[in-house]
Amino acid sequence: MLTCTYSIRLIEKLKSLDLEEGGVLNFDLINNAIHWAKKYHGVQVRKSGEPFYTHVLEVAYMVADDSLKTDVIVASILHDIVEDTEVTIGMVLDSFGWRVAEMVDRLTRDRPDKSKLSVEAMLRYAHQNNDREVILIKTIDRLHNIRTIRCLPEKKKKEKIAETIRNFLILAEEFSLSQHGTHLYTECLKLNIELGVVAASDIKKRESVFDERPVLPLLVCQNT
Amino acid sequence: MQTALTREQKRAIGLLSIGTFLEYFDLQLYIHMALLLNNVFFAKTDPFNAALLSAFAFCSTYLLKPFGALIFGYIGDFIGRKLVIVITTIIMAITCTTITFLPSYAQIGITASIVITMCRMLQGMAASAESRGAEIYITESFNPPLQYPLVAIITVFSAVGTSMALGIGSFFTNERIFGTEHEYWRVAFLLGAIIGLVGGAARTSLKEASEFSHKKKMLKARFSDNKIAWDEDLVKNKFDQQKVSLTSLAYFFICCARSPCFYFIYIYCADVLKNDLALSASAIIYHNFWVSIVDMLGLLFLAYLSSKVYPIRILKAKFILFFACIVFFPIVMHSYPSESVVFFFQCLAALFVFDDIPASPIFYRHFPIMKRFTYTSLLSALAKLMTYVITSFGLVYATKYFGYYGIFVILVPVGGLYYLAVRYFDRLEGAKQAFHQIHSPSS
Repeated sequence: MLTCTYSIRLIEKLKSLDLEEGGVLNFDLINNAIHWAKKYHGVQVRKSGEPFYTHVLEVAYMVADDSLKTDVIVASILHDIVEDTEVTIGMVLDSFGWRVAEMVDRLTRDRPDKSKLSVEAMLRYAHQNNDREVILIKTIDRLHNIRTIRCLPEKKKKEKIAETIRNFLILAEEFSLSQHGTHLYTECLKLNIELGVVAASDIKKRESVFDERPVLPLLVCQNT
Repeated sequence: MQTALTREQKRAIGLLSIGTFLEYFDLQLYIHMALLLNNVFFAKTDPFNAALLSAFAFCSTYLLKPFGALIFGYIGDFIGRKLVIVITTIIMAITCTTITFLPSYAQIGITASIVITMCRMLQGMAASAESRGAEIYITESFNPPLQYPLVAIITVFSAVGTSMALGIGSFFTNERIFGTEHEYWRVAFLLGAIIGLVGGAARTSLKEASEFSHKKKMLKARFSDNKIAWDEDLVKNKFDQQKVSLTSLAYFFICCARSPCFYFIYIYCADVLKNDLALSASAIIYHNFWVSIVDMLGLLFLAYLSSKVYPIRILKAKFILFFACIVFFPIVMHSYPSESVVFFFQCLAALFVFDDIPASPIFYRHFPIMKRFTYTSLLSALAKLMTYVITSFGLVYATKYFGYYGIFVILVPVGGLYYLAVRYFDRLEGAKQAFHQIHSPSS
């Protein structure tokens, strides 16, 4: 298997976490998923110029902090594979099992009838099925996309930010992914300030009724 | 995976448990001293007063709970869990103080009856909101599996409060010590008021439940910061209404189960002791006191067990054991009718009562955070009101026509719906998958 900094970093982290928990991960399956990501995403590149598979490996790296389960890690690595390559859900099912196929299917916006689901529809479907793991992967996928959004045109950036605020913040709270919701909000706010959509001086330091902790992240408070 | 509590968490659990103990102590104190106190605040000869007395007993326990659920549910969901916990403790303290110093019917007439009725109504609403607030607070502040025993401990303390009230009530109503008319009972309420005020003040230092933590306000602020218009539909659209409806129905059936079981243990069996075994009222109170002690120990054991065994499994086991034991009640009572046989079956029923304990955190988790308090409180209050009415009237006719077997006319359909509801939540949890997730550090 072709190794790279990203896959080495991911496997090292997983091994370290797995050691702490007494061996819960199936590394054969995870290595196979990495192999698939590199093989099928192949020469695809992101807008930043990096190989596309680096994105899915980074998502898996971040997901591991929340869910140290083989199926979830594998689905994170394969989350774009049906949408962006010739791989089908049937192939995923045969090689990685039912649950991974189900998660990848729920993360795929391109449907077999050639229609394309909106992000909102996709998230709502996962919500209807109470699939916290799919919501987790999609939220972290979006967080990584937002962190690496700088190469997109300004209009696209604004659309993506608005879509993120509308669709992910409430859902992150609903599924007890508050930390990721806060990260998404902070990243979007920083971008909006950079883009001139929001003036930094408009962001006031607020305190919740009971807690001494500020509602806004410290980083933004200090900047204002 | 969190296995031990931090110092602050221990303090929070202490404050919540003592508060719940107090709420139930204060609430039940009047019930167990009713014979004495109704004579102080009501006039038996006045028909209006007699009607007020019977309405008071029903309203204070069940009828006003749905209204209380709506009011406190709204506060809990839109302002905070902590505020409900603090307000309800203070309401309890104020009502206890009022009862302590309230002049008798002989002194101020009907005003005494009206004031005591209002105090009891407030107490009834506050007590259920307080314990639910404490349970949701713990559910949202601790992760599984630690949250299961911690939430169950709240129920243990409500049972301790009830037993303590029963003990104190029997003491102050003991005519051999105090005679038939005395004012010593006011000491018990004064004690409750003082502890309530201190507890309420101490609870203001609690932090808001970390999961809830003013979420809606925070989300609105985050939208506003990014110049995105807040739309209530955005929140609504995120929820699958049908799913919540099904979850609500399932939770309603689960809440329906406790009342008939409670009725069987403490009311139906008391009637059997009184009518078939000719026990006196004070002997029945003493008898039920020991049943409540077994009930309390059973809850304590369940709290411990929930740290080791997946709570839904415990619910299923309790359900099967309850029916496996109770099915023999009519047979044994026909052959060997005695107080000890009734006590034995009461204890078994109390130990295996099919209700939501210790799986309440699992049920709470399947309600959206911002609807959780209102939905669970209202569903529970409506379920209790409905089953109370059906059980108290239905059981009279059922036992009249079917004798001891009459209890199954109520228990079997309630049990069937309960089992289906538990299976529904089990499926929501994803059975094995959830169990592994709960016991893995990643959760």
